[in-house]
Amino acid sequence: MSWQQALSEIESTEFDVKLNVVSSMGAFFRAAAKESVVIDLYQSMRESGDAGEEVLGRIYDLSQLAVDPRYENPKDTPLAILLWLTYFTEPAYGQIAANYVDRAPQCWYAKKLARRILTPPPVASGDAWVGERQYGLEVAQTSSGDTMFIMNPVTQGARPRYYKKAGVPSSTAGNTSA
Amino acid sequence: MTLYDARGDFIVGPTLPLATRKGREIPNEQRLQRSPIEMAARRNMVLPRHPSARVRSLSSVYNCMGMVFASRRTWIDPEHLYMILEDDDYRRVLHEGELVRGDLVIYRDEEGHVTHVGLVAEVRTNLREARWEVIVLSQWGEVGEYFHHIDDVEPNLGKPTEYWTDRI
Repeated sequence: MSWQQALSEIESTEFDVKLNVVSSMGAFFRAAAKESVVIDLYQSMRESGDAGEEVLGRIYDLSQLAVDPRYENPKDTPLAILLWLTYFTEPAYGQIAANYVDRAPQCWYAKKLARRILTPPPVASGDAWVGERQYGLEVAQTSSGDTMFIMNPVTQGARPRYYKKAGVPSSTAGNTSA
Repeated sequence: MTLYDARGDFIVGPTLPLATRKGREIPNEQRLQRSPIEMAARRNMVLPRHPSARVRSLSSVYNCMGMVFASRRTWIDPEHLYMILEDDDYRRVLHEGELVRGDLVIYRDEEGHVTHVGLVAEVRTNLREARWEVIVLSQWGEVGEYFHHIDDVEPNLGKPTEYWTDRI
């Protein structure tokens, strides 16, 4: 199965039903880890920067969809799975993706995962926080293979764009409004 | 304001005051309803795969634990199951033949995690095959509440492994 097919399958009703019969976050991701489409996409994302970047773009698209305020976000499952895969294949992208997902309205598993990535939970015995500051938003840019991901669009509310390193003037690459 | 549950997961939905008979708090979270169109699509996906299943309700506000222990009001993580069973004086039922309507069926996955809980809705005697047929009522995650044969569930719900009752 190609990663494009896997990506499409992860957004299907059948996949949604398979995972959403379970009752906890742990069971949800354990069930996801057994699905062949998830395994295929994970391997593709590890092997190909294109797959990882397309997934990041898809996370952005899904997180921007309008949602009926009466109901849960219908894209919660794909957002959770794609964020999970992104975080484990490319942690720097995972931070960026978590920022997108955190802003998507009325999510459940996706929101819980995004918050777990963005904000470490407090230690059990007190008020201190494990880890350092929330660093997702401070990332300016990060490199992967022969491409460069520009972080600026996150704060500008635009879809992320990817550029070959060669020929992209770094001072203007982040400006997506052009 | 509570932001995290005991495991460190971020709490998304509102919680209800809920406790065991002995007063220990039962962590819970209310989930938003899925749209009727989505729920119908899920039902249409589930029913052909499970010949014994009949829909009781199509809600996603509660899960299997919320159906059994919180009157269908909220979502309770199955990790709290044994705390509730202990505090509410449940006891094991060792044989299907001793089950009555209202007893609990617990499901586990291959790794032993508790995955699902249901209520016994009916126990029939199958004389021809010399066995009991147990019909269960349970909420399948956020996919809806179904009457079904005890073994006829989605694979991710695991297999029935234990029976419990609070009968005195």
